[in-house]
Amino acid sequence: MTAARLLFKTHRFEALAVLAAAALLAVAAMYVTSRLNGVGVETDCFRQRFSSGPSEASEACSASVQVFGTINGDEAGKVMAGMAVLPFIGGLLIGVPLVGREIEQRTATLAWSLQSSRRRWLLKRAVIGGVSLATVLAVPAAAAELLEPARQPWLDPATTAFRDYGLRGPLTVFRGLAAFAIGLLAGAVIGRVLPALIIGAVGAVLLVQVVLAAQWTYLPPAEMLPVSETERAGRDGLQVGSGDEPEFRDRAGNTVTWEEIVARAPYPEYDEELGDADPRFYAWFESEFERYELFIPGEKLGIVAVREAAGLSLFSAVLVGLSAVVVSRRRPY
Amino acid sequence: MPGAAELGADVALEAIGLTKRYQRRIWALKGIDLQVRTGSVTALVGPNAAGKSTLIKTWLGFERPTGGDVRVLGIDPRRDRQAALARLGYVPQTPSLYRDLTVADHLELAADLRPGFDGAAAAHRLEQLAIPLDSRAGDLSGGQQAQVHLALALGTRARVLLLDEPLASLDPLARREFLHVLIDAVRSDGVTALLSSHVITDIEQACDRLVVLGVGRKLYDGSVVEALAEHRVGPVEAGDAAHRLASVATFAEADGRLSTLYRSVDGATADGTRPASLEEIVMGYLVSGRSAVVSAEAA
Repeated sequence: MTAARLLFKTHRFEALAVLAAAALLAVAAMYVTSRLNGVGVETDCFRQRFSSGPSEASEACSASVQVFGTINGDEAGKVMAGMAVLPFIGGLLIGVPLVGREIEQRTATLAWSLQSSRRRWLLKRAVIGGVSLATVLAVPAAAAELLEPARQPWLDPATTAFRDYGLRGPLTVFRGLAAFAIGLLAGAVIGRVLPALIIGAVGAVLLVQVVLAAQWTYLPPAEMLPVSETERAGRDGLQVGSGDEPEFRDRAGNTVTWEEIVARAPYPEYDEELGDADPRFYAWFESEFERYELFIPGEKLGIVAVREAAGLSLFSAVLVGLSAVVVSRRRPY
Repeated sequence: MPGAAELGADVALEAIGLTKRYQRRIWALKGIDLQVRTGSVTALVGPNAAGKSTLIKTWLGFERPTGGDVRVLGIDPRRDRQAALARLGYVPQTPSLYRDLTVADHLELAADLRPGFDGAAAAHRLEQLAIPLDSRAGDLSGGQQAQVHLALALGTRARVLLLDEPLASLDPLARREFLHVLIDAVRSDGVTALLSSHVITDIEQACDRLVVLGVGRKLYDGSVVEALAEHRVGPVEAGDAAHRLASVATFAEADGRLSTLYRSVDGATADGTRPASLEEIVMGYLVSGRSAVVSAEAA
């Protein structure tokens, strides 16, 4: 308790800043959730609007869907944008000064002359800092988890799990801990807070890129799913690839190429006079065929989340270990 | 528990052929051989960049030697830094307290970091010096911060204290108070202390041994009493032909007059010479060290 109290006292500004940002986002998420739920749009309104378009939906439906859409786009969008950066900023703000400031302000000289094991000193701080960060991040992560179903009430949350899946729930906490570990190492190596924050931010961006690039190596196998189902019919998935190589199937389930579809069509694909796509072609296409793309079904989020969390945990543990090596070998100034 | 090497050992700190080089070309220490006896209070004197701090930090494991060895009560800090540090108390040159923590917080921190830390004794020592325990470290004067560092170092109950120029930024009264606390603790607890300093007049009263370090080399090593008895100062031509009064170095006095420091064998004296002060002894050896470097570079 003494160590935690003194650690908080010496890092209270960044701790309070992260706490305030997390509290603000959590309150904002809950507020926006209640606002979205309060609009009270009937599920049929969404279906009607999505299937027929705005012109066909009833006036009452259109009005409520529009209000819902504004709150969803403006307010919920901002909360989710905040959730995208909070784990990284929070992790770096807490992680960098834990060692970086001690070296910069030369207080490490005192601490390392009193504590005979520098590794123990570091691990104690890393555990206190990491647990505190995880606890603080868990609150807005849980609030964002409640917000997400409210943003898409026409979808089944169990099967639409991949929507913003990294911006809510436990994964945000693991992302925050990875950023924390990056900050810890940057602070230990550089020994100055501001440069370490900058380097740490670059490291966090690289981490995101690496996670995105490596995702396909640890994700479960993708499946060809009908786009209409994944998008609007209560099912979604994590799209694999860019969607540039779709597959088309007829009502009998036979795979056909686009060229074959164009050849079979009673209407031309493009209306030469209109100078645009012929709407009759696409109406016919939608009645006869289904577009399939590679998705990981939403039901498999659990596997994806566990694997990503495990990867981020391993990454964080390696970085904390490297920090311990750096701390045990470097000068305290 | 003391290690086997340390049982019965009367050498608290040891440097054997110690060299330290920075950036591959800047020599901080060149072949230092030094033994600090247990229970002694040794003054480590030298100008800036003499290598005093580097030497102390090598014992602490903060600096790695380029060559040679160091020992703390027989323990090599490179091999077992934890064991070496557990026997050391340290007062750094620059106050390194946490500005936002109170003095009491520092005592709690030390108790958390160092098993066996005697917080009550440290608090008592600070109260005697009228340093409020509820003051923020950042609000304390330089002298008070140095006293807090000393109280923390003494509270560790370490057998060896390393004090890296703690007097440098203190006013004369604070210096005297600091040394008084140090000497009192050393005498009552029987610890060994190594005190590096620029301020030669103060250490004369506090230390029983003098080590002069210059240009990374050990220039003089002996007891303060012997140093005062063995050295005389006089005009340049006062040395005797029998070499019983050997010239150490010639240096300029504050008034510009040249004087020579002589090392006297068997208490030999010569007309025109007088007993050297500790400051003159240090000055003489520092000049001799610099001259040796100039000669070596010229050769």
